[in-house]
Amino acid sequence: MGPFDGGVFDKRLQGGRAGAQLTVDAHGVHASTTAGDTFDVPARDCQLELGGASGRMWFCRTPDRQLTIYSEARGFAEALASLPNLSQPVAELRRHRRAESRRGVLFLLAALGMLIALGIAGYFGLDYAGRAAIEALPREADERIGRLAINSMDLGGPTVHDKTVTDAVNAIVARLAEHAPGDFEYQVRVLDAETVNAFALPGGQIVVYTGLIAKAEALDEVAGVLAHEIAHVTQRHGLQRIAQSLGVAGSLELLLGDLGGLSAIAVELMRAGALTSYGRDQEREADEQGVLTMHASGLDADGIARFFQKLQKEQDEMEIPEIFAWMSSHPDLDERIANVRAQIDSLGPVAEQPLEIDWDAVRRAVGPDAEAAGSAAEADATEKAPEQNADSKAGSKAKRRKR
Amino acid sequence: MDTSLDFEISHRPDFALLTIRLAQGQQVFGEPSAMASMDTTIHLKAGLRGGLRRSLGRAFGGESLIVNTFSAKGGPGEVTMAPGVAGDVTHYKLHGQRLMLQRGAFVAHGPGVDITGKWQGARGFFSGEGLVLLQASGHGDLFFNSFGAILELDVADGFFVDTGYVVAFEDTLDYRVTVLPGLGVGSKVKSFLFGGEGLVCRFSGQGKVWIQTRTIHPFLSWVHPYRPQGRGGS
Ligand SMILES: [Zn+2]
Repeated sequence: MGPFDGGVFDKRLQGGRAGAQLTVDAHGVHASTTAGDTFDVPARDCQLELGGASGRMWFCRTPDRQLTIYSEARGFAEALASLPNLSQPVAELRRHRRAESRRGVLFLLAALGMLIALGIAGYFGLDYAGRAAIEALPREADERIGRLAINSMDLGGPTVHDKTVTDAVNAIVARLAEHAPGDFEYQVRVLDAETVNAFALPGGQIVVYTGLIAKAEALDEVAGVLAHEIAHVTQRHGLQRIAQSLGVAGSLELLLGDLGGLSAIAVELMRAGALTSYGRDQEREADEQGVLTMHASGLDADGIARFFQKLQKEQDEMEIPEIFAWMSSHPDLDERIANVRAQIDSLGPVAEQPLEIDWDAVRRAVGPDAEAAGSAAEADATEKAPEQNADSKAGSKAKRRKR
Repeated sequence: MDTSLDFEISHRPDFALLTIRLAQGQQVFGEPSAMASMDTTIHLKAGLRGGLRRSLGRAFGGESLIVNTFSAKGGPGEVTMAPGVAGDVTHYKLHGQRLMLQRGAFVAHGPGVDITGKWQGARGFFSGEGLVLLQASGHGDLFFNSFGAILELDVADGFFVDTGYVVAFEDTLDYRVTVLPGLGVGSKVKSFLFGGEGLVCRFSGQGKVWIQTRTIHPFLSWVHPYRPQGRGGS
């Protein structure tokens, strides 16, 4: 039978191999190369193997394995099977190969199933995966990322050194930190800028703008906002955002303990404003935890609700929402005011322990007619490069509007 | 008829250059981007070779649809070819046996050689190197390139090669993509789904494997930060 396209392995050939035309008859398998060399494997000596890149190549070897004749041509296996002593090995090898390819298909299906499952899990379970990954990380990760972020950010205003202001804000944060969960260390900066804003970075870096202090009629309003921001820190929302942005693969990497590149990603996210703008669920959680902290601190938890209301009213009247940066990152105020007040009602009365701070004096210190605060801020601005400050102010506004 | 080509591979192994001296009437077929220079006696014709199906197979294998045909019509002459990446060029003589090539490895072949794409199914899916390999068959000369130097290995029993290092292998070898034994379960799952370290080709049977001494991916990620920025594109 034949001829079949195939080949020969034999030491006598140049390079040890050559293509050949094969025939099969009652004596065995015969091969002749294009160069005219002929090779024979007698049927009784032929040891069969099935393999090759296609998995369908038949090898007929002599017992000393010095000579091998092979082919994957159609009909070659049938020709081999027609030899009395080879019909059983051919059938056996075929059965074996079929079982193997079935296993291969099963394995492929299983692997595809895993990929799909991971995709679905990634889509619906990112929060969970992210949380699990974050909880496994040491607190130093938050601190490192927070420091990196604040050093790479355009803060948009000079630092305020007026002790009337900084002492007041520090006192509020100290009181809240004492009653907040976790033992993060907080570093507070007050910056001179019109924007009504405050935010916290992972690890406990807190930034408050004079615009927000000037807008708050009572200390409890600012304390409410700060309690909310501290909750973002203690609940590690910043790192959760990073985990979400990393996607499935990244979260897995986190779980597997690979911290490389995490900081770089954090800085990138920072630039995109993602680290200080949280999801709805995170905001709800920060509101709830903020109210609990205010309550535990002996401060009026309704402060934040009153501040929300004030912001909303002013925004409706003035139609210049640009400076209300904190609001733009904290939408759905009506609903949140309602939620906060419902939670306060459920908590019962507070044992009030007001802070001894002259809030009106603080507000005067940051107000437009505050000579001292103004000149202090200017002095600080010249310490840094003034044009850089001007740039960063414009830059941060542009970014906020984009979001 | 003797279809053998008169050729020389110089500047090995880092920046190998393939020079083919064609007798009058002889032809060679090359990857379009590979041609570096040619004599004026050489006639160049770009086009599909081997029909649309074979060309499509090549395209899926990562090669371009088009193969340039260089014919020495106006008298004998030289064609030189330089592969796109820094590395070596290897000559392989086909006597009716067949060779599987990693995508992108093809440089040129002489008359009597056929190149087609071969769907690799699940094995290609997991190797991360492409679903299709090129298969060279027939009688004649074949030239392929590597990134870095190239090693020719004779497989007797079993042999593991990282998937990124495989350039070519004879089709008498059985191969499957697997995870390096001895890795932890976590890294196994990771390398299986996302590629990278630990994913290997396990060769068995009898035949030759060519492996390159560098892989292209680390090189690309090393170069990436130095590329000019800011002019759009990727
Ligand atoms: Zn918030």
